[in-house]
Amino acid sequence: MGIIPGLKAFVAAVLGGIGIIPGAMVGGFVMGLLETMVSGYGNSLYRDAVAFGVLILILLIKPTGLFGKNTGEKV
Amino acid sequence: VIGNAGKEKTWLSFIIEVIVLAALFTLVQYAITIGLVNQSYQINLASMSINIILAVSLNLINGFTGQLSLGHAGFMAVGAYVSVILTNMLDMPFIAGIIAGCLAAGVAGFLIGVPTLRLKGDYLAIATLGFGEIIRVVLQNIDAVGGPAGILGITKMTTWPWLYAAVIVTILVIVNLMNSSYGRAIISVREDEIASELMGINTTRYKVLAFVIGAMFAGLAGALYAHVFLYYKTRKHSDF
Repeated sequence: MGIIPGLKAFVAAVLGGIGIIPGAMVGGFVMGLLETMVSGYGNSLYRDAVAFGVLILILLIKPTGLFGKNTGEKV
Repeated sequence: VIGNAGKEKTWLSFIIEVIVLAALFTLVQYAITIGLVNQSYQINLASMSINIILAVSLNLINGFTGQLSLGHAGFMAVGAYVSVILTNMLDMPFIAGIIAGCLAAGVAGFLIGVPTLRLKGDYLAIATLGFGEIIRVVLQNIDAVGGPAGILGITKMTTWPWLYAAVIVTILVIVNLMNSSYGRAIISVREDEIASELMGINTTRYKVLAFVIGAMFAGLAGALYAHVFLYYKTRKHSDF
């Protein structure tokens, strides 16, 4: 009931970096292209899995998202 | 129980606890045997026990460790599938299925926990949720375990003794863990991660430990679930 589209939007926002508007837009583009590519060239059943897999990869390599700025933590 | 960790526990209170637990078990078992507790109530009992195990194990991760994990249903699915494959397709005893389900879910928890627990807050929530979705999608696409229809025709094996023992073991393990030095380290990670790291606690290690134990008990709940409701379908648990 709208859970999956909502999640995808959140994934797109995290992908670009939370709080950065151009990042959210680019994240949306990347997610859309990726899902279509996976459906077209590979197995459409794995579409959601690949979308989340790429998100996890991005978070592991660059935890602030594609456009995120690295801010130090204040103690 | 967490509050009076310093109090000395006497043998008397231990014996009284054992007697009360045994009496409760015997009472319900007797009621089932003489037909006082019918099928419908037995299903309710099973549902209650499984939800207790799930809630207590999720509380270890979300409550005590303070790491928002949304992928708990994925570990339950791993435990259920592994145990059903062992008991139904390979004709192993139920205990082997339960142990294998727990271990498989624990391994899944370790593999997921090690990379994702470096993340914090929203990012951790979305990463665990993503892993839960990946487990669901992968399980749904393996035709050997029924594909999207789920596993059907499971033999009923979960009975009241299994459920009761599983609930007691879950609660005992988690209460004792939280009363130990590991538990205090876990609580310190939740209260202030930077401060506990300064005190020499390896925060990643304790977070992964809590995550793996939580995942193992979710696998236990999954194994019991599949053998009482006699079918298992991933969609049921991830489609909240």
